Amino acid sequence: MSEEKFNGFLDGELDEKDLDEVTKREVEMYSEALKVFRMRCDYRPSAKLEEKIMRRFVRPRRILWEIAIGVAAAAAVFYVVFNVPPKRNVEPLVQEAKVVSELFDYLSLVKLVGDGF
Amino acid sequence: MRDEELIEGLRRGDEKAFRILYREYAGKIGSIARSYLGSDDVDDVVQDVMLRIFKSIRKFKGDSKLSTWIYRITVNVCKDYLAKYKRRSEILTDFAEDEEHPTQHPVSEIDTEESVVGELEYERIVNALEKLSPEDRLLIKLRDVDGLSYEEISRIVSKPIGSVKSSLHYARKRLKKLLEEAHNE
Repeated sequence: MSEEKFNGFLDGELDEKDLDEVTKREVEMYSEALKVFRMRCDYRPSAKLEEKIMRRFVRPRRILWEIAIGVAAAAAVFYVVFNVPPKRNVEPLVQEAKVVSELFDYLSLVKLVGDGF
Repeated sequence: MRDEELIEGLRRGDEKAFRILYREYAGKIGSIARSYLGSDDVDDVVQDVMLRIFKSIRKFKGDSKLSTWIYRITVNVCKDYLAKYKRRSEILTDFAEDEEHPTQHPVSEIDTEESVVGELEYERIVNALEKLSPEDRLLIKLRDVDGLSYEEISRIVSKPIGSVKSSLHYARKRLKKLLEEAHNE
């Protein structure tokens, strides 16, 4: 019965006024132990540990992302440079052909003159 | 930051989210580890738990609170450490070792606590707590110190609620008996 009341009180099901004297003493002793236990478990994480964890887990991941983005950019540039054919300007070729043709006409004329028609 | 936003940030690998996670939970993770294992390796446990969170945050489905999920990971990491200690036959649950590192606790807090409880009584309580099993200490910590619900504890330790209740009642009974014995010494 005392055990039930003890657990009932700790679980918030019973009020202190519902406890007999023995259970009240037990609760008091147990509560003091909890105070000590709380203090013994107290843990204050250090800023040094925070930095260590960030350095170890988070930053490498960011670096990987940065490397991946860099590689993708380089691949895009490589593709543009080597796979997109430059537009060839055909106009100078036409002009060249015209010049060559005129040169042949001139040489033919020179030959004819040389042959005395 | 709400849990959902924090989870999203963690999934994106956002550094700010990890800092918030650390500042919010590292103390609680360390506190559970200290209650379960004693004072040794708490920093290592915190680091391992953060690593597991980092690796598995994408698998978190959100069917429990983020805190419950993190505490479950913490308990699993602690169990791994305990198994490691057992393998080495070095069960390091000696709370008394803390005395060698007085700077781990704020001095004022110790003074206050000892002045409330009394030095001799304080030692007796510490000895009684040391005699409890890690599982008993964990249940008492989660329920009576942190005030978590039975449902949350059941998710954290992966046991049915009924089993958690009965284990906790036995743990309380054992602690009460140890305290009475210590008091009558």
